[in-house]
Amino acid sequence: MEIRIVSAFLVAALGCGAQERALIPDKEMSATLSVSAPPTVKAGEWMTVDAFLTNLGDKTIVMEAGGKEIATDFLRADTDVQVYSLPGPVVTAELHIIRVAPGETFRVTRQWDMTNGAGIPVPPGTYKIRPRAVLPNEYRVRVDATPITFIVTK
Amino acid sequence: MRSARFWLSLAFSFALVGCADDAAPPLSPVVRGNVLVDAALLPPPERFQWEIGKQIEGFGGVYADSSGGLVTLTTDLGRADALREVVQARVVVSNSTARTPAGRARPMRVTHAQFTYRSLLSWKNALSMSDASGIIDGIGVIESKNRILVLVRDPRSISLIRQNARAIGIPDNAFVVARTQTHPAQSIQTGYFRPTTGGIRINAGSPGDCTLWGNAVRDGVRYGITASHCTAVKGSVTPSTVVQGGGTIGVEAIDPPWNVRERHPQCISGTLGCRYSDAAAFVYSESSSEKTIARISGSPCGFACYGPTTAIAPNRINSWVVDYPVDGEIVDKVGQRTGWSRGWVEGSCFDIRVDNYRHLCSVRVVASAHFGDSGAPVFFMYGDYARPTGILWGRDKCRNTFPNLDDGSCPAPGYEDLANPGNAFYMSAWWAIRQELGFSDASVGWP
Repeated sequence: MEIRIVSAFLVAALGCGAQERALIPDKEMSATLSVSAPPTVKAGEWMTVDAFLTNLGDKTIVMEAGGKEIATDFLRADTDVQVYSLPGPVVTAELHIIRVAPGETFRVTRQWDMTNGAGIPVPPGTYKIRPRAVLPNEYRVRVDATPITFIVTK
Repeated sequence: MRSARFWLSLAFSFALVGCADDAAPPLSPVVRGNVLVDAALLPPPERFQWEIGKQIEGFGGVYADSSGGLVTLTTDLGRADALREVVQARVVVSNSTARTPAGRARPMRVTHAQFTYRSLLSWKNALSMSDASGIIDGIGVIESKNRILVLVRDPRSISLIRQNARAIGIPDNAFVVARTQTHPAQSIQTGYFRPTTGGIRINAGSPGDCTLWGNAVRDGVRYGITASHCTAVKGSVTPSTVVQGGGTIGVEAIDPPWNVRERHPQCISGTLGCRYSDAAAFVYSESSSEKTIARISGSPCGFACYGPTTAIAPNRINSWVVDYPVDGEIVDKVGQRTGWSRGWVEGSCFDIRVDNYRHLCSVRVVASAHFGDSGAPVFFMYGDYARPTGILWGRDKCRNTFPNLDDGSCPAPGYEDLANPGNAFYMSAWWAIRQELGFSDASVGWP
């Protein structure tokens, strides 16, 4: 419980602008997160992105939001400005429990029409994908550092 | 030793205050007892009274008496005239909970109170976060009694409540401990309910569990209503089996396609699936209670919390359903996961993209919801009646802040949280359910 309280304090303090990874206690990671996507996509077409959460620990990872806990952010490669995120900031509220046992990999597939939440198409250019796990700190998820980039062509 | 919940709350409170300069509007916390009471975070019914108390010393609360007249309490009758003026002005403007005609002149009297409202609210919050929090079923200030009412299930808990109250410094005569009515004690999360009623857990064919909105009758056929995304295939009648408490209760029958072609370019072009209501209906094969939702024991919680989930009796829905709420109005919801919560409308018509769908003209409500509450009825409470005004379909990922709907981010890093109940939920309004599913007002309410 002590560790959880400290972690909660630290996460709350993130609102002050600190980097999340720097504040989480550096303990053995229990899961990894990575993504795969096509290298080029034509503007106006749909893009399919797969995210993989692999449980390397000895405890089952339990997610109640049906995998919405795994987020994929899309950013301009040159400016790092986020243009969209899947799932979005509002999510449907059904209770869908997913259990990822030790050694298992959970895959979630998402499709993006390359527009933002307002429906405006993103301009052609190079983008990158940043996966994130919105999970309690106890799961200590490590994000695969290999950058995934893709090009949106005209 | 204080409970972990107390320290967690305190840690978050301090962290938020510390961020005020660069991440959020300045907060003005007021220390009372051992907790921070932040006026900006109080729900409207508490906030407007808190602010009156700040303006007029001695204010003890305001309530409507049985004849509908307003009664204002004060510890200082010498300021009755000033208080009358302030309350008359603020209550008409701020308090729309009863959906009474705004501006209607009401008689008001001012009477003596033993405690100020600010003291009662501070004590209430302190007790809510004390070691006794786990055994409290419900807690709130009862203005008409000028006391805090604490609801507990087990009579043996009463002495522990009193011990904690004394430790905090709450006078013995400032609160009343009462037993929650517990019969028939069925949790809407796990209970087997026959006849079925709105607010209970169901599974309508999707991998996830949801909440039954309520029941309807059309041309002699009995229907149950829940969220469209709770069915096996959103926007299509498969038809899937609907299960409650381990038993089949019906088969999916109505779930129009998400093909509305208006209001937004992505809808018009068909790029995304669009609808005004995230709702579907199934035909019953089991007994269903007409036009009711579960009446829950205790008091509703606010946001980011678990409210009570024990159903004590059906709560009849009045036929006068409300097409949609307006901004600022107070609404209640009963969902199988976070139970009974209450909050206020913050935006009455949003077009919101969720993955490959766009929910048109949805209503945002600042009140608790969590995964499993999809399909929950949202309604106005009028004593023993409830008037439904919408169906819950989603929740925010961000805590304490409005999300950026364009790029999908929370305004500050670290504010995403899916493991705990959210601060706000989204609903489709009744007018949209009626229009898209083809039910009349009378089909879901009593004539």
